[in-house]
Amino acid sequence: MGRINFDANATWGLLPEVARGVRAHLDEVLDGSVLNPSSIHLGGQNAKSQIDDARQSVAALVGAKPEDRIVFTSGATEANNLAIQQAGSEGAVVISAIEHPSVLMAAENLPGSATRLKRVSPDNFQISAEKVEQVLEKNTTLVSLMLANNEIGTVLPIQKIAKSVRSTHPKALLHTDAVQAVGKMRVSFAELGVEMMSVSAHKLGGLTGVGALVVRSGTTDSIHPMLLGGTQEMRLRAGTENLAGIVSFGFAARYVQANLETRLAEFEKRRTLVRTMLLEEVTNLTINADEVERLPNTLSITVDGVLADDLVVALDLKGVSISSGSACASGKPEASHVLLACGLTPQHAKSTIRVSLRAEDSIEQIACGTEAIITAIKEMRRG
Amino acid sequence: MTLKEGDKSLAGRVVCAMSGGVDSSVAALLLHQAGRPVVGVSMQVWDYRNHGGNKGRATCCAPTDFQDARRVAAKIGIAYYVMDLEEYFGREVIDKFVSSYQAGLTPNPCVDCNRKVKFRELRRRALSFGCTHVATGHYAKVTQDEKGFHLLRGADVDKDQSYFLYGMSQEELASTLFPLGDLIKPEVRRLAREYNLATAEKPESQDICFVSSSVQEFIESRVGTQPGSIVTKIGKKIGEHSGIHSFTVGQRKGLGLGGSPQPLYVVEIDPAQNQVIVGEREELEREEFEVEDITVVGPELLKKVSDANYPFEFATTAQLRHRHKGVKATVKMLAADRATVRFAQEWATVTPGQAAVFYCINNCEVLAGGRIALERARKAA
Repeated sequence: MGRINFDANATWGLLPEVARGVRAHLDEVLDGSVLNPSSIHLGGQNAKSQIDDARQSVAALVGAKPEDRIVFTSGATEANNLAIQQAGSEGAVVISAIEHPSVLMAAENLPGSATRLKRVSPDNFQISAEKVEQVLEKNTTLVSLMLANNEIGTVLPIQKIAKSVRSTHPKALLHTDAVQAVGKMRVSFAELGVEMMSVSAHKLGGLTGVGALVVRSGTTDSIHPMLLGGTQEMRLRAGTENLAGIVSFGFAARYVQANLETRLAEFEKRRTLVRTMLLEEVTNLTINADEVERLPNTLSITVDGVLADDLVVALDLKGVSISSGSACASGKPEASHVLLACGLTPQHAKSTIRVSLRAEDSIEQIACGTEAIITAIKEMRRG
Repeated sequence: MTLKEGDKSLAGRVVCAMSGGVDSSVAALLLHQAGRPVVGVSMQVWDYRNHGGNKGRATCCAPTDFQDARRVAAKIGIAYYVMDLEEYFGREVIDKFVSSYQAGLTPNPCVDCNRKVKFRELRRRALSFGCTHVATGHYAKVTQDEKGFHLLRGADVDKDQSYFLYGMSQEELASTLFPLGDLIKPEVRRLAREYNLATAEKPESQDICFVSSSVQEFIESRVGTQPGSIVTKIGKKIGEHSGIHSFTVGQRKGLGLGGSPQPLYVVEIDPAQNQVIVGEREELEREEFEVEDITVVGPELLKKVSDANYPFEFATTAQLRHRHKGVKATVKMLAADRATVRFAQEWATVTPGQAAVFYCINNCEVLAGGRIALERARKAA
């Protein structure tokens, strides 16, 4: 059977189409026909053109308009940091308590954050537009709320929230971290109504080390870049572009867009299988946020009496990859801030694993992996 | 225990505790070479992020230690995980360490760590994810015969750590491997170099793993200073101290007292009066002392304990602290966990809180061990 990847939200792994595209690209770089995108000569032009192709594909996938900007970065962490920094040094800032650490820490690092920053907590695993409205202040300058949460998979009502914020606070900038959402649900930047949106290539099946901040036309002129020193990315992000990464991003975007509807159905089928098997075979097991709109590939599962970190190891030794909490938090095992913000006790948080599935994996693999989880839980509970 | 390739009795997966030092690195290497399925685990017992007040050199659990362990595991070709034991270690080892000092004892945290954390909690969790054995880089040996399992000193007389391992049950010994038991340190380093392990030249950490400054500073960072008097046996005050935790029975240096014709030693620590009692060397002499919280390890001794005909006596070479060469003594078992120990010929300094480990008279096998009890013995007449 080989290793089974139930940790797709950590990284999707390279899609075969993407690997092919990147290999072909590397051959072109090797033979000297693709060089520095900023150069005037043909090598530069070819490189530039590859970036343009990728940019177009990413824009199409995320439903950006032609006049909106896709700013390629070194990843979603950089994109999130770039977005949050637009809050400058004054004005209130609102984020949710369940944001990814790259949003949380960038926001906490803003000057004066102790008084400026408000974190909205979920109720029943969901962030409501009403609750966001309640914390807005006259001088609110930035609101950043993720489109889908990486740990519990919940989808936030961003369109509704954006509409409500815009009506009362037209000057506030709206940002959404769409890293986990893109590729797992239909995303339309134009319809969401935000000014900025972060995306990541490796969550889609592209290479690590590349992402993008989507910026609405009209906002681009007021963006302050983080990295200075060159005119790349329309002066919004200096530095020679990660060409192989960007090319992979383009390939991944094209593949995902072409297959989105089928993918969504495949996710649903697989997740239902896992959910059913677990609920039938294992007692004292809770699927978190089961009633809330979620990404179709993600299951956050609390297993009473079992330490999630040890279950991850047990399954790793059986050839199944899962995670407890998000990968970023796993340097030292710590109770997930997302689960705690959702009201789980520290004990339950430490007994919670995340299963995130790939549409590309076969039903047999999914079933096999789930069997391994069931067996591991029973073995651990017996001991 | 010498590992042999394909040894059928050792079939289960082993969790090898890896500190990021050369000893545990080579232990993991040897297990893997012997064909055992091994996983490397570093115990995280301390988080520097939670203890910003730490100054000085890190002695353990620094990110670099985990990095070293991870690199070695990758070089050997085994899976590697970090196990969070911070809370458990904090309760069972660190808190106990602090309260022992406050109670006038000089504790031995490595004994508690081995007994409670490595061979109990780590074992329990490793069992839960499918391991059957625990291995460490300790210099010690486990052998087996028809009587049961025996804990012996390691081949390296200088490095032997059996003293810290006395708290092990037969069940624990049955599922513990000490791959370095027959090796001496230079040989271990040589093996590490030969296999290009990242830790081959790494210097050893000498001190208590969670204390990076001094014990005194550590304790005071937790409970503050508790000034009191330094007195003689007849109660005459001759000095002051900032906390009894800075002193250990038998200590001569660092008393801050001058002008005595004879060298003065800490003879007793009185936690109730918060006093340090000093005297001349003769005042340290004892005929006997009491040991509590005893664990019996040797299978024959275990049999006698289960017969429960108390009191009974056995002859021993007793080691009363790390690097103590041991003295001949007679142990009178009063119950399964208590004994009075009488020196046979020469006496040794008795420090309450330290481990007293009873080796067989030939000084190779650990028969039992316990904690030296607070001063109750009478001075030799």
